[in-house]
Parts: sequence; C-alpha cells; structure tokens
Amino acid sequence: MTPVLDVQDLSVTFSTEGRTTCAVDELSYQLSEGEILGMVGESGCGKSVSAMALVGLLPTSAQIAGVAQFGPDDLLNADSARLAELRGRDIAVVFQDSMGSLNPVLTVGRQIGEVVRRHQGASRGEARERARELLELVEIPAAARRLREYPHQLSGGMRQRVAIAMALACRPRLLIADEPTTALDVTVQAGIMDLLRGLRDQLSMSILLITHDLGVVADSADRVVVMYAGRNVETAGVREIFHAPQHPYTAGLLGAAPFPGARASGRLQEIPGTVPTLIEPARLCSFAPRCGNHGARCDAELPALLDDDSGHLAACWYPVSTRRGA
Amino acid sequence: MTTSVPVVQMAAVPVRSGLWRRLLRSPVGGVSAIVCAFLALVAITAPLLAPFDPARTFSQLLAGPSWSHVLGIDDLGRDEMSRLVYGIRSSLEVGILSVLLSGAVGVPLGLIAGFYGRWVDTIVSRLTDTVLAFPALILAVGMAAILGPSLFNVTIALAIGFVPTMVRVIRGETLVLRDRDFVRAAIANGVSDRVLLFRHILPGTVPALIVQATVALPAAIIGEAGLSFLGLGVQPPTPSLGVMLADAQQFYTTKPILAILPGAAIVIAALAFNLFGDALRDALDPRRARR
Amino acid sequence: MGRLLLRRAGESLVTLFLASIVVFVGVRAIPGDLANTLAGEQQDPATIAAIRHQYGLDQNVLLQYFHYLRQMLGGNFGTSATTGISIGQNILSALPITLELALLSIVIATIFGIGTGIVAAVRRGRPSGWLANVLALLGMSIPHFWFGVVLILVFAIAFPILPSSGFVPLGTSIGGNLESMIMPAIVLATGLAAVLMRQTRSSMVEALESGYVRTAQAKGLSWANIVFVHALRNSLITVTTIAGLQLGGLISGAVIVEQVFVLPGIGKLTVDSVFARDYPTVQAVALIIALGYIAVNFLVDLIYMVIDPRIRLRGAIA
Repeated sequence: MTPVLDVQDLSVTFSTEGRTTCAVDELSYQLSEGEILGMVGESGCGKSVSAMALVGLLPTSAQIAGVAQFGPDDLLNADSARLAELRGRDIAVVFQDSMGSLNPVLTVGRQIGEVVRRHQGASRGEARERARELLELVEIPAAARRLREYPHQLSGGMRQRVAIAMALACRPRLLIADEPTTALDVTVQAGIMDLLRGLRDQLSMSILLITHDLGVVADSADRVVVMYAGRNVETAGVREIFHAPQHPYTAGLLGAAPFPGARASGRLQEIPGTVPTLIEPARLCSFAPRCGNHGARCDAELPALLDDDSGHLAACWYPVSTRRGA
Repeated sequence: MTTSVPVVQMAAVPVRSGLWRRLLRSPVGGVSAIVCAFLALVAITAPLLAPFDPARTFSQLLAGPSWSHVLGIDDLGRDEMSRLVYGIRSSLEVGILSVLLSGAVGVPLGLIAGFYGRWVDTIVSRLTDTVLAFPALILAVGMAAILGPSLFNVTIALAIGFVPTMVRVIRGETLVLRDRDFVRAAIANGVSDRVLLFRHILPGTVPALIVQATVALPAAIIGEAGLSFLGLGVQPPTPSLGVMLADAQQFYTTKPILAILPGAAIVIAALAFNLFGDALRDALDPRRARR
Repeated sequence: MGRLLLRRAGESLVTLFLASIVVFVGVRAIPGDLANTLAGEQQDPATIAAIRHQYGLDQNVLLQYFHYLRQMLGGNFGTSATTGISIGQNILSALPITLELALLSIVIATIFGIGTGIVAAVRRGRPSGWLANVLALLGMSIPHFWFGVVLILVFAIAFPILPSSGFVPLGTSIGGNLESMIMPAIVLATGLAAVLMRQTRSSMVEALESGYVRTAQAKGLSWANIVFVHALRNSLITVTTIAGLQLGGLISGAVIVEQVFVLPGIGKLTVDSVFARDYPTVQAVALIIALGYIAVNFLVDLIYMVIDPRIRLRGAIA
C-alpha cells in the first residue's frame, strides 16, 4: 500500500550571516495511512525543522533538498499556490504553544471557521456550525458558547484542543503535531493524547507526532523515527524500539529516561558529551564521539540505515542488539 | 546570622561589550553617529569655530558669500556663519539640558510611582496627566509668558513638557522590574528601599531611559526652534536657529538662503539624532534589529 | 468594562479639575499687576480700581477660583479684554477651524502613515521598505514651521496654485476652503504620519513573525487575509495607543501651523491672546484646550477597550 507520506533524503541547510548550519541531513521515512509515527530526538536534532520543511513554513534562508511525496504532489518542490491549497485542507499542523499560535483578537469560532470558509467555500453560518461540531469532536464542553470566546479565556489544554479542532476542520489526511503536549501539565497531556488517538481511529488520519518525550511516544506511536544531529539513526515499531533498541543513542536515551520498573536501582544514565551542530553534512557518524560502542569502522565510513530484515532500521556499524527472529 | 548581600547582576542591563560594534555596523548608525559627533563638536568649539562674534555687525547688509564671510551676511549686518555656529550651539545646549532636567525630575518620580504604587502612584499619575493635558507648545507659550522669554526659560519649559513621558516610561519599566526575581531576592535579603531602587532597579531602566532621551533630544531641538520662531525663546542678540528662521521670513523671495540655512541645520540635526537614536535602540535590543 | 470606564472617567475629571487650577494659577502668576495690564492705556487709579472690581480681582483668591469655575461650567467665558467681544463667541468661531484642520490632518496622516507602514512591513528588507522608513524619519525631523514655509515658497510663490495664507470658510466656498486648508493640513499631518508609519511597521513586523501568523499560513489562508485580518488587527491596538498619545502634538503643531498660514483657529487665538495680554481669553481658551485633550484621551481609551478583547473582558489595561 502506498504510504501517505514518503520522505526521501530530505536535507535542510540554513545560511545566515555567512554561517551555514546543516539542520537536517538526508532524512528518509514513510508514513502509512492511519499510522502514528513518533519522531523523537533531543532539542535541536532537526525534527521540527524537517516537519516545517514539509509544509513550507521555513524561513527564506533555508535551503531544502530531497523529495516528500504526498499523493501526487512533491511537497518540497510544489509551488506556493499548491502548498496553500494543501495546507489546512489535506495537511494540518498543531503547534506546541497554543497561546502563541492562536490569534488573541479573533474569536475561537472565527479562527476555526476560516479554515472551512477558505477551503470549502462555506458561508459564515455554515462555518460557524462546522466549528461548533469540531469543538464537540475535540470534547470541549459548551461548544456553542466557546465559539464566541477568545483564546485568553481558555485554559492551556482547551486551547490545544481548539488548535486541534482548527487542524481537523477539513479532515486532513496528514496531521503534523509538533510537540503538542510539551507545554501542558501531565494530566492534561494524557487527555490530549487520548483525543489524538481517538481521532486517528475515527478519521483514519495519519499523524506525524514530534516530541522529545519518550513516554508520549510509548503510549501513542505505532512506529518511531529516532533523530540525532539531523539524521535518522533508527526506525522501528514502537515495541522494538523500547524493548530492543539497536542504535547506541536510542539505548542511551532509554537509559536516561525514568521509566517505572526499568532500572529501579542506580542513577539515570547520562550520555556524556553534547549534541554537535553541523556546519556541513556529516561524513562520519555524528554520535561516534559519545558512543560506548565506538569501533574501527565508525572512523572510516558513515553508516546508512541498515535493515535487519524485520523492518527495524538502524544507522550503526555496531548496533546494541541484533534481533534475528528472536 | 548575617549574610552579606552580593550585588546582583542585572539581567536587564544591556550587554556593553559589542554595543559599539553593533552600533557602527550598520551604515546608517555609523553615519548618524559621525554627524551627531560633528554637531556636538561644532557646539563645543563655537567660540573657536565662528569667524566673528555673532552680534558684531558689518556694513555690507545682505551680502552674498565672500572669502571673509563664507555664508554671507544677514539683514542686520551679522555674519551668517557665526550665527549658524552659535545657533547650533544654542539648540544643542537647550536640547541636552532640557532632556537632562526632565530626567532628573522624571526618573525619581517614575521610580517611586512604579515601586510604591497605590496612592503615591495615583498622585504622580494624576499630576503627569494634568501636565499632559496641555499640548506642549501651549504649555511652553504659557511658561514663557509667566517666566519671560529667555534661553534658560525655554529649557525649563521644554523640560517640563518632557517630564510626563519620562515618568511614564520609567514607571512602566519599574513596574516590570519590581516583579522580577532578583528584586524579590534583594527584598528578602533585607536590602533598604533606597539601595533597592537606585542600585537594583534603576540600572534596569537605563535602556528605556536612553531610548526616551534619544527621542526627546530631536524634539527639544525642534521645540526650541519653534519657540524662538514664535518669539518666546532666546532673545537677541543670542542667535538661535529658530530666530534666524523668523528673521528670514521677510526675505523669502529676495534672499531665501537666510531661511534655508537655519532650516537645513535644524532638519539635519534632528534627523541625525533620530537616526542615531534608532541605531542605538537596535543595538541595545538585538531582537528588534531590522532583518 | 463598565467599571473600568467609570474609573477612567473619574480620573479624567480629576485631571480636568487639576488642569483648571493650573490655568488659574498660571494666569495669575504672570508678572505684573493684572488689573494694571488689563487697564491698558487708561492708567488712572479709578479705572484700575473699576477693572479690578469688574474682574473680581479684589476678592479673596479662593473665591476668585470658585467664581472662575462657575463661569467655566456655565459656559459664560466673559469678554475679551482687547476686543470686547464675547470670548465664547471667539472660541465658537475659532474652534471649527482648528477642528477641521485637525480632522483633515488625521485623515491624511492615517491613510498615508498606516498605508506606508503596512507596505514597509510587508516589504521589509527590500529597498522600498527601507525608503519608507527614511521618509518616516524625515517626517519626524522636519519642523512644522520650516516645512510650511517651504510649501508656501513652492506652491504659493514659485508656482502660485494655492493661497499662501488666509482662511475661506466652508460656507463661502468648499473649493476655496479646501485650497486654504490643504497645505496646513499636510504640514500638520507629517509628524503624525511619520509616527504612525513607524509604529505600524514595527507592530506589523512583530505580528507577521508571530506564532498565530505561522498558524494562519499553516491553515493555507490567503496572503490578504493574513496581512489585513490577522496581522493588522493586532497591530492596530498599539498603533491606536501611540496615535492617541500623539494627538497632543497635533494641537501643538496646529498652533504653529495656524501662525504660519494665518488661520484664525484656536491655536492662533491662544498665542495672540497671550501676546496681547488678554488674560480672560487666555484663561478660557487654555481650559478649553485642556478639556478637549482630556476628552480625546478618554475617547482613545474607549476605542482601545473596544478593539482589544483582552482588556474588554479582563477589565484591566494590559
């Protein structure tokens, strides 16, 4: 079955004031219909940048290469008119900061309604009705009244639900959720993630879930892409990632995260060193200097994503565990 | 148990290092800085720079430029160049002094209004509102009528006009800084109000203060010129750019240069300080730098 | 919002009251015996005493003040010391002129200032944006009286299209009226337009780089929608506040512009009466101006409350 989104060798470089930064380096992955793909990595690993590249929301100083096949369109090479059509209708985005991403001087109803009016030519009344439906879909009580309210009158969790409602207005095939729960309290987080999963089931929507929170990924993702310094270092189903990570970085991340039951004794293990900022695309594995599995081949060749025949991909010459039919 | 209170590093104080570099990086900032410096130099060295005493009269009334009188002679026989130089000096004197005066009054008022709040704030706010209720020029006209026209009184009038804005700006900054953690820490450490205000909060208001000063200075230059133009400012024989403009009114068609020179001087001075203020603002807050 | 409005109204009244005291004290602070000056040429003791009585100058100061207040509140402004005409009459004939001037200037300044501000923001980084900024700075640096003079030189003397001075009332000829007002209005508008342009540009840039504009783009909204509905609505809040603060400058400017172009408005009335030592007029006019300014400020606050829902609903000026 053709994936909803097929990204191949996506690279993003920024050049500002004479300096170049390579933010994303030959990133490739696929997203199937109705799948939740979790994209994890530390801050600055390029996950948000890669997502913004898909919808053309990067600043003009960004140079983008590669292909992102979304149906008949290559998102990275589409013209701005086509992108504007797709945005909001077929691809939608939910951002991290709901207060910052909602216009403070327009009512909630207006902001949701304008998506429908733009893409489906709805009238004011139709748009309002649709907005009300959407608010109910995202489980906001007293939807009709909420339509007339302004963002600052809502709590953080409700605002994020409004942002989700805005995103769903035209039943997009792909939802990009960029750190949707990071700014929320833990209990509110759970509610939002439940909502997203429920919506995925209801609408057969694919979700690209970007987060640095492994707990969120464990709960909600079907598959996971692990990013480090702009590259995809491991891709696998969520269970495999957590039970048998192959890339030393993934293993390190899991070791560094507090999981109930796992490693009950001892300190949380840090990964020594810091994430490098790349000036040019990496020629060798960027993680090597910090890696416990560092070997001779790491100094000679950049590892490509290697498949262990079970669909579990890892970019490493000396992976942590190798699953062979186990 | 006593603990010595370390002087807290202000988070709100601008980063000095690199300030000059950033300032001079843009061509606009650099050029305006040079022009401002040049004007200041002219003002300071006026007695040396001016070829003649500006009040001294010559017999060749309304003469054109010549070797001894580079910019010509005006209708009363005075050397234009000398008058222009001293005029610039008057303008800058009044400008800087009025801004300094408004700061001397406005900053303490703003600090206590913002810091103590409640009835102190109410009183200060009502007072500033009252002053603001009178358009600046009307106020100045009134003051000139009461105090009599002179350079000094113009300075006072302008200063009074600037005080309310200064108070508002400083009060605003104080309100913001008052809630910052470093102030709360200092209070918890038992620091006296006076130390708190002057050593902790005041430095944080400096960027806004500088911005306000750079906006007020060109306004003062224009204001003094305007008042002198109306006859309420400096009195002869002290030259002022505004007076020169007023005197030149009769000669628009015959000898327009008498009007053009002082006018151009005012515009250049105001523009240079405005541009410099802009560049200074951008250098102080890199977030606001134009992309 | 009602409570906030009431509070602001109360503050305005207090300010007005204080302003009246300032005017009252100010006029009496002018050096020289008031009665003497008002007597003018007839310096004999009898006349002076009569004048002193006529203007109530022989009464207790506080009584004088209350008398003054009562006069002002009742609209009885007395008669001009120099012309003998009712001051109220003078004001009534001068006020519309200044109001028309101010209105024209505001319209010109708004259209031009906000318009160029939007252009400068949308085209920032490009030469046209930079040019707009320089124009704005120039507008802020040119003194009214000089600019007015230059315009007169060009459009009235060099190419005689417009009158160099004088005023033609609306009633007499609309064309003539506009001819006499257009140059003064443009001169007065420059300062305000410059400030509006810079503030619009700055607020629009901030809005265009904000999170909600990014969301709007992610929703696929049209460029026009984003600029005019999303960004502009937010920018107008700050722009209105700043504009409100500038209105005082408008009246100051009007004083000079009316002098240069010889328009018999309130500004000229004030200056003339100060120079002519016509204190009853000064007392009345100064207070009227203060009243006008306070009222306008109150109005601006009102508009501000209407535009920004955060203030309307929370009841606090952010």
